[in-house]
Amino acid sequence: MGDLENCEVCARPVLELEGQFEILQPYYAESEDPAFKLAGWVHTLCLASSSLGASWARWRTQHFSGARGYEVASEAEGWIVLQDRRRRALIAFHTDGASVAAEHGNATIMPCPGGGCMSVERDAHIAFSDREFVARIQQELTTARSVPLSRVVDKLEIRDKLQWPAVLESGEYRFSRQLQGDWSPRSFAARVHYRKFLPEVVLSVWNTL
Amino acid sequence: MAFTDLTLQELDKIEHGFGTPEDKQRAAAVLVTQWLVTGGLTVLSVQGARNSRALASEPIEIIEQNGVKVARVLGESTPEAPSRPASHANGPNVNSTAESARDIEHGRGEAGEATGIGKPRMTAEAHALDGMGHFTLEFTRDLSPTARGLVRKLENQGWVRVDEIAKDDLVQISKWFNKEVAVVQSPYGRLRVILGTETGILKESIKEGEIFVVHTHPVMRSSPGHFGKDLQKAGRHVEAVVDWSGQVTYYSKSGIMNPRGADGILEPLIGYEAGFIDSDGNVIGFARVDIIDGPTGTTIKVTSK
Repeated sequence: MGDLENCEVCARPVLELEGQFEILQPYYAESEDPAFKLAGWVHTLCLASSSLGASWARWRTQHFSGARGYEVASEAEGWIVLQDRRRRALIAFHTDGASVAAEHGNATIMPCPGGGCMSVERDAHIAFSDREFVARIQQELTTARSVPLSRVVDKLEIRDKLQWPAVLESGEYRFSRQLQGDWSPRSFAARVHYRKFLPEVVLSVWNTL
Repeated sequence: MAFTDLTLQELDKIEHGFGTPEDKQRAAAVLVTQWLVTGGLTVLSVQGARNSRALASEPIEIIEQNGVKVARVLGESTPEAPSRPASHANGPNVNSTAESARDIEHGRGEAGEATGIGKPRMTAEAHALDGMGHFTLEFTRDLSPTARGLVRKLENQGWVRVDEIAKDDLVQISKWFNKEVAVVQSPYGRLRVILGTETGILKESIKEGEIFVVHTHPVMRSSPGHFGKDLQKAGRHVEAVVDWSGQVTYYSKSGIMNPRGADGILEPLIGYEAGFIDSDGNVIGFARVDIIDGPTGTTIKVTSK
């Protein structure tokens, strides 16, 4: 399958789409706690569904608000929103373990039901053992200049692991001549464009930064 | 007063370039300020920047509000004095207007826009994750010339190719962004410095065949528990973590090589010379990285210098 990290909860691949996955670093955690075993990559949905998500929410909130200098900006609907006004950045944790982060930059936000959808764009290097699949993606990138994000999501069989599937509907990998130089028979590289969801309570803090 | 063609062209660039509406408004506001300053005014801020494009066809008046001269569209109300972005504590640098506009237009990195108007950031604060350190960094005082160049490139595209990099520069860069930073190496021997997120290095930032050489941990003291995931993913070759105190911890699939102190904290590994870090503390990479395709996947073979 894909040469990606696997979820510590469900063992399926994790596509690194902001708002859809979490990196749980061991140095946040108390190593004696049962939740420590989840350290690594997890689907946000898996963590939020796990009874251990609350521990990670607590640890991460403590670290970012205590050690890392963020201030509590808002608490509502299970979310605690931490802000760093100097950097015009925020990170929010839900009590179930989910998180979302945002930093002022080039992102645009459009209204979405229940909050806002923020644009995300970055380089993505993805490798698969299925060379035929990679060849098809490369062909489509070369000819159509883009490939729907859903193509890779479905190949990885993780559609049911998406926390906010609607916000990814228009997501796609876009051809980049620069990144084409990194292609190999088992990997492709492209600019990935998609949106991440900011719940209303998070969006309202974002608008004040 | 009238806008020059050049000013209007710059406004057009801002309006049609990349950036959030807020950023565009700020850049436009700075441009207008520069235009006013050129006209002989000394201390100005621009009110009504939410529609600065409209200023092109509107008469402008200068009023004094709370002791500050403010430009506004004639007859428009000014509800509050404009708040100053934190980065303007020493006054706006009107000479950098064109550069700021270009930064936004070309979509420069997020960190560079933390100042609020798209100018490169000149100060940063960093907090060690273990609560053992809080740093205020000044760009020219606390970053070496090499690190300064790398920071600006990382702001642009999130990675930069290097021949070598001092481990202390890695630490300062990690503090500057308050994020993790990694040095990876390709089978061709090239080193790349990659900017991670606040929570780690994204797997999708790593090209096929690249291996980790060194990465940072944003803590002042390293303990074995910090290496749980690193050890799981480690290969036979030795790689290293540099924490924010500058201590290097070496590990491989076989475990952590550094000794533990009585309190369980990892201590420096005295006398060890890794092949990928020279005696001056520069990360220089492995002599050779071979990717060997096999029936069960790829195997990475690393040869030290």
